[in-house]
Amino acid sequence: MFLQIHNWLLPRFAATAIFRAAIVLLITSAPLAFGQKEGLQKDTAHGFIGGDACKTCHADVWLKFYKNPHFKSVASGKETPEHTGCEGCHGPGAAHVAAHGGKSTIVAFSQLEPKQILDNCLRCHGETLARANIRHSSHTENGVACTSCHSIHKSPTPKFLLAGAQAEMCYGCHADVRAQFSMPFKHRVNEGVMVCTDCHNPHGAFQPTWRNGERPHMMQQALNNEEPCLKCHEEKRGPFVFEHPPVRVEGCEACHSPHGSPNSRLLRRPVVFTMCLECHNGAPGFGRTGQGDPQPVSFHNLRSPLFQNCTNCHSHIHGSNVNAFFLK
Amino acid sequence: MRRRMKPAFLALLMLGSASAQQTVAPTPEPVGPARGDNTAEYNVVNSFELGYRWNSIGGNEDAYDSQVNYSSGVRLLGSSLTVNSRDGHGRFFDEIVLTTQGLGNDPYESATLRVEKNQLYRFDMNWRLNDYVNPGLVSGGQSSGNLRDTRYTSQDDDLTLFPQSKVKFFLGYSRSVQDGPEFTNVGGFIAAPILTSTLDTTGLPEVRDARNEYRIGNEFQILGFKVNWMRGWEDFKEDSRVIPQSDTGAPLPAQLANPYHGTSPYWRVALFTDKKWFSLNGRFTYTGTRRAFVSQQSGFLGGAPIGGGLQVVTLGTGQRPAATGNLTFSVFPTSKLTITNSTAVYNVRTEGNSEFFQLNGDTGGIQTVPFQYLGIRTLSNQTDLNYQAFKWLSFFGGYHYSDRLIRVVLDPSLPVFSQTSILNAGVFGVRIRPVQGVTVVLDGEVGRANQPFTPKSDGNYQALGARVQYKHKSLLLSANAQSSYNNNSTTLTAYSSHSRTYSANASWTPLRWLSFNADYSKLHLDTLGGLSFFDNGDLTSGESLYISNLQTGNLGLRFVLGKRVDFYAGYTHVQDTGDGRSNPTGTGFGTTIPEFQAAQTFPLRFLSPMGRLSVKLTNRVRWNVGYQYYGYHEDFFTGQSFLPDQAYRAQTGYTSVLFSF
Repeated sequence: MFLQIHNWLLPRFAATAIFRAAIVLLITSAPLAFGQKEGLQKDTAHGFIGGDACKTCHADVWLKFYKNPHFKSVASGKETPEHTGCEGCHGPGAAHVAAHGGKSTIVAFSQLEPKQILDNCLRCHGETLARANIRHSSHTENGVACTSCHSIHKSPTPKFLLAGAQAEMCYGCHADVRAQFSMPFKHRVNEGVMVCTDCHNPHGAFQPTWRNGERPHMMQQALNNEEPCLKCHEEKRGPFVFEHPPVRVEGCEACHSPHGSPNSRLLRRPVVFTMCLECHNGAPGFGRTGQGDPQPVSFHNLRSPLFQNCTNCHSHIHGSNVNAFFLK
Repeated sequence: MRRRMKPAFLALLMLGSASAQQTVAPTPEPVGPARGDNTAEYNVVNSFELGYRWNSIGGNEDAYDSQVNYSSGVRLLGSSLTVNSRDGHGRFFDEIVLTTQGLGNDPYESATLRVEKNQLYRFDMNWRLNDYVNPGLVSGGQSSGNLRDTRYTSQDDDLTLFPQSKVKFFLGYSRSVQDGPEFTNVGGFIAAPILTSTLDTTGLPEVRDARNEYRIGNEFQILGFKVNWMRGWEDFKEDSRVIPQSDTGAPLPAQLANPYHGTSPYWRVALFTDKKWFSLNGRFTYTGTRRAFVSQQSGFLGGAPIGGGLQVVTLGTGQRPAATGNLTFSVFPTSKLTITNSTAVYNVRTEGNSEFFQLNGDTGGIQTVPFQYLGIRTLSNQTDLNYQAFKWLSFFGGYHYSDRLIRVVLDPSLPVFSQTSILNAGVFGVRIRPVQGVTVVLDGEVGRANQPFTPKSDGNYQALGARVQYKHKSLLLSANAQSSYNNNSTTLTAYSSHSRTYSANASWTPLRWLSFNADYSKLHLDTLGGLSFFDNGDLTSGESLYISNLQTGNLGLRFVLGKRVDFYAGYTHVQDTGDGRSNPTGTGFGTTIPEFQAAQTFPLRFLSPMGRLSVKLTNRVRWNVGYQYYGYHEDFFTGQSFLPDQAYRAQTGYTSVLFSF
């Protein structure tokens, strides 16, 4: 009578209907995938002459173009001329051929403004979820164009047509970030087990929801629009019956430097008690009750090494289900 | 044309490899024919690097494991395989891309796979492993208070059906596992807030977390909008156990188990459109996370003031439903003007229950421990304008408003605490291109929040930045300066943080056989904070001033000897000069307590030179050898009685054969 799907009890007829609908949708979408309208490779009325003419002079590009993701537009044989092969990006080639070359007779990306490059690429790549915020991203505002990071014809990377190793591309402008990843303690980007886009979306992201909704920008948000840290550190996600409020309210950066730090566990201070006491000083106006973050009680003799590492005892500092003081 | 393009392509490759690579292996040099081998309807390019790593460590090996962690042994240092159909009409696939790194026993291993058939499917897999060692935070003259030696593995699998179609389907599965020993304090109290008995011991639990995520989704177009939806379930379980140990390391007849299981079913819907005059996109999510937990402690505990057996059980559930929404609307009145308005809503609440059950020789019973409710609702709106006045001059600016409400219930018998923080912030900037290849960007942000949550939170803040970049062919020069200031001082205490960062970078490939990269960064940080603490039972108040002057430099040089030999040399130097004092308790600010003076600055030095030689034996075989040194030294804490010596010196190296067949 009922079908259990992941703790959901559905009436069997409803489950059957959903299943059939999915099958029908799958089948009916197939023609959309394969049966796109027949386009013309040549549209001489608008100056499109097809890619064959390009091979004569640009043989070096053409010979390896079948490895390029853009070759799909040629292989399908069904795209319209303005979305096919060389002319898909560089525009009609008739004038270029008639003039025997020249950057003024064709769309040459080296001559375009960043916004023009963006517009050109977004003709095909615009309506993609990962690039939905690109037009108002920090990169776009700062004049970083698609070709600043992507090399369409000379990419040395096997995926995404990057102009170099991803981290090196980012370090080129963000030298301060390279310095952070050179610290003794850091996330393993230089070691190759992580990449910048694990946490960031270089094409722009939605506003952050942690802190007061302000910086940092360009973050690749995780489930719940949370900080991307929780994609890997899911044991910190909770929910916990006793939350350490700054974790939820301010985010991980309240205590950690995510790129790298001279301090163990990417902490912002070398010795733990100073970091904790900067908030837990009872200063009025702060904390969840507005009465100040609670001070350590009297038996915490901060001269004693035992109490200088707060997480010795408050070991579940990100949140606990059994102890309001995060002792376990 | 072809003859001209080849050197340029090689230069690009060299530029990438010259950029200061931080680890000496794997070898980035290419091997085999550049265009690969043609077999039937496919083209194949592959390479494998098989080698042996070695190391020699002096000093604190725990610190080395935490910061570097490479060990000796045979490794498949790296491999790459690409298979492409030559006409885009392969029978079962048109592209395979497989890359691996560090397989064998490196602490950092990864593998990626892509298999794609044009128009029909695309499958992506990403697997990685990270051995994580941390000797913990210094305390009490012990080498560790929280040793952790865990292994984290994760894998993401994503299948897209009809990837080039207007209707796509998505299936995905992700799994991550973390396991390994953790040396930790079991807890200062057995069952606070009901303070029953003290437990001053440590334990060696076996951390075991696992996450499984399943997702299914679809993308289609309707009324000019592309709609993308995803339904997913993320299951999480933690089954860590603790076996407490006595001071001598012997297991005590006690144990602590904390099973913690739950699921996070979620919906995510996104819609977007990009037209000539405007673009609109939105993302809406709902996640109903719930967790169930049990915590059980039992045994005869040494040091506890209870003579008989003891069992403490705490159980319950926690829930956190979260709803979020983002909507962004951009208009393009002219080709030079973009106006964007973004609205974000975030609503989350955390609640649950917790029941406490205790048995010992004299007492027993059930008691409910009240959970602490935490609810956050944030509504923010931002309007930005980007205007290109001339080809060489652009302006951007914006206004940001945010309203955050926090509601807290510490105990059902207490009133609800609520607070609202309003943030008003303005951003502004100018982008100048005075000549071809030169870009200058000046930007700033000034904001004020009327109710910052913690003294460290953004309150009255301002951030200013400047960046200059020059790019000409293979030469790239850039320089950055950033300043950030935050002040949250109140009538009773002061908090202000001031950071200034300066960085510069240069990379150049002047000749086909020569390239180099150099960068330098300086971070100055001073933070003044109010402290209040107990010093031998006496409440003491004062101020602390933490100062860091952190300088980092990277240098990389690559050159080619003849047609066969590639040489790379790199150097990394990190140094924190602190506040300039010569001993840890010399001239501390605001306090005369030596322990606090010593914590106000942390001078250290970390350096790592390296060199790599790669010799092309044949067109398909290279032989490589490399060496990298790591040195770490803490100026003040080394040799101090109250903190352990974490300095180490490590010599590492490798030799390998890189081949293609």
